[in-house]
Amino acid sequence: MKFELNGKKIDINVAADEPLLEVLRRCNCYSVRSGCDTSNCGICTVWVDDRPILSCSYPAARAEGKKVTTIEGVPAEAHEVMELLANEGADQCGYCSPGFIMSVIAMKRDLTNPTEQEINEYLAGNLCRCTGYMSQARVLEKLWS
Amino acid sequence: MYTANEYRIVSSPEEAAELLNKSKRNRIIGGGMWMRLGKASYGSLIDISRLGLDKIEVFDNEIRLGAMVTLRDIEVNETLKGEFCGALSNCVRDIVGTQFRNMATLGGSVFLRAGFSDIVCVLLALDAEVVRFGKEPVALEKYLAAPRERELITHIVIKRSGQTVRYESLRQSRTDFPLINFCIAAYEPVNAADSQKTDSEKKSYRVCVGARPGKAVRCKTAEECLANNDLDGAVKAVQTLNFSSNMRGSAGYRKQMAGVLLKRAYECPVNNA
Ligand SMILES: Cc1cc2nc3c(=O)[nH]c(=O)nc-3n(C[C@H](O)[C@H](O)[C@H](O)COP(=O)(O)OP(=O)(O)OC[C@H]3O[C@@H](n4cnc5c(N)ncnc54)[C@H](O)[C@@H]3O)c2cc1C
Ligand code: FES
Ligand code: FES
Repeated sequence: MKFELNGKKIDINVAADEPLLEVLRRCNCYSVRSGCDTSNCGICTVWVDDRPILSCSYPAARAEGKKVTTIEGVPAEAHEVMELLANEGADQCGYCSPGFIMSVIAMKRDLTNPTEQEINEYLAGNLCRCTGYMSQARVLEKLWS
Repeated sequence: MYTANEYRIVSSPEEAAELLNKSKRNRIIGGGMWMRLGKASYGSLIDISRLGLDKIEVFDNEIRLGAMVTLRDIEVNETLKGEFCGALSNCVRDIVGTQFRNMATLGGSVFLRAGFSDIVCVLLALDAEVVRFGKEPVALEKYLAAPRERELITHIVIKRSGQTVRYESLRQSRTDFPLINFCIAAYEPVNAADSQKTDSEKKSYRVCVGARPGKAVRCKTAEECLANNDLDGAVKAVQTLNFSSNMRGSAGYRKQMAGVLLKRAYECPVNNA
């Protein structure tokens, strides 16, 4: 399968039943990880053609010819969110952070001046076991101020 | 997670249908979100994502949605936000999360006919039609009642009849499966002979209840009651539908809530818009 990963051309063999997540890890993108077995946690979030998707469930073979972006592909924007997460204590075990950051950056590109409800709805598919979400809420407030 | 021998991105509906009929183990893959929860072993997974079935086409008298339109496409489409009182675009908002809805498809949702389906409940109230490759289009109501067949859904078509629509669902928490869902659509009559009738008599209704937890059904007695302005009768009628219990709610609770949601929907824009 040929696809573009963070701006680089990749040519790799994929199995018919392999999820994109496994292929991305084989391409050394170790930020991409799994947090559940039921397409519910959002920890595996990456973008395909700039849309956030769940790489644990996305059939890798479908990415043929497409553009895939992980956190490694958006370093400047990711750094900005990461720093805010750290300052607000929203990065505890950190397991959920790459997926959360990919959703937040996608949201910043998708929505203009979102309300609190729109933000909550957009990010409802990103679960965090550690923080209780208040620290993330502070991060999001700062991102828009 | 499923296993599969082959992943085939097809380039025509004919190719998809041929491959589907070749072996019982071959399967169309929509978003794959439901399939991925199972442990089935497939032959060929038939990817129909490059057949142009991802379009929402708006015509004067109908809206035609491709089977590969995602739930997120439905949610953010500007026409759909303003059509059917926003019921179709709003009904998907609590389904898991944005990333999930960027993947789960309309065709997969209709084929699955899940009892809890938010979108099937709304489509039933909208009297949607299911278009399958090489077959006659069929009303969703009939499709839901029939056994599953090996076929390719290409489109879902909804007539633009100026319906006033209201969708309600109850969830234990947002993003969980609904424990009951309810949709009501009010139709103005097309028949000129009806012009002598009073406003309320002019309307006809489709009343649909899903996540009972069985799949969405119409309640025709409730529809008749509403056409005769008898709200109490309609409430009693929806409560006679078949309800049962599961981990999300008891049959008794669902029955009570069906009546509450009907009242809420009827007293809201359905009758006032
Ligand atoms: C964790 C989870 C939570 C969910 N929560 C909700 C919820 O709260 N509310 C709700 O309404 N729904 C919910 N759903 C269902 C979801 O919205 C979709 O309806 C479901 O995933 C099926 O869509 P899909 O595109 O993923 O189909 P797939 O998993 O790809 O396919 C499902 C079935 O349909 C067949 N199929 C797919 N496309 C076609 C086609 N074009 N023609 C013929 N057959 C086809 C497949 O072969 C398969 O048998 C949930 C699903 C999951 C996995
Ligand atoms: S790993 Fe949980 S949604 Fe993908
Ligand atoms: S910081 Fe631990 S899961 Fe989110």
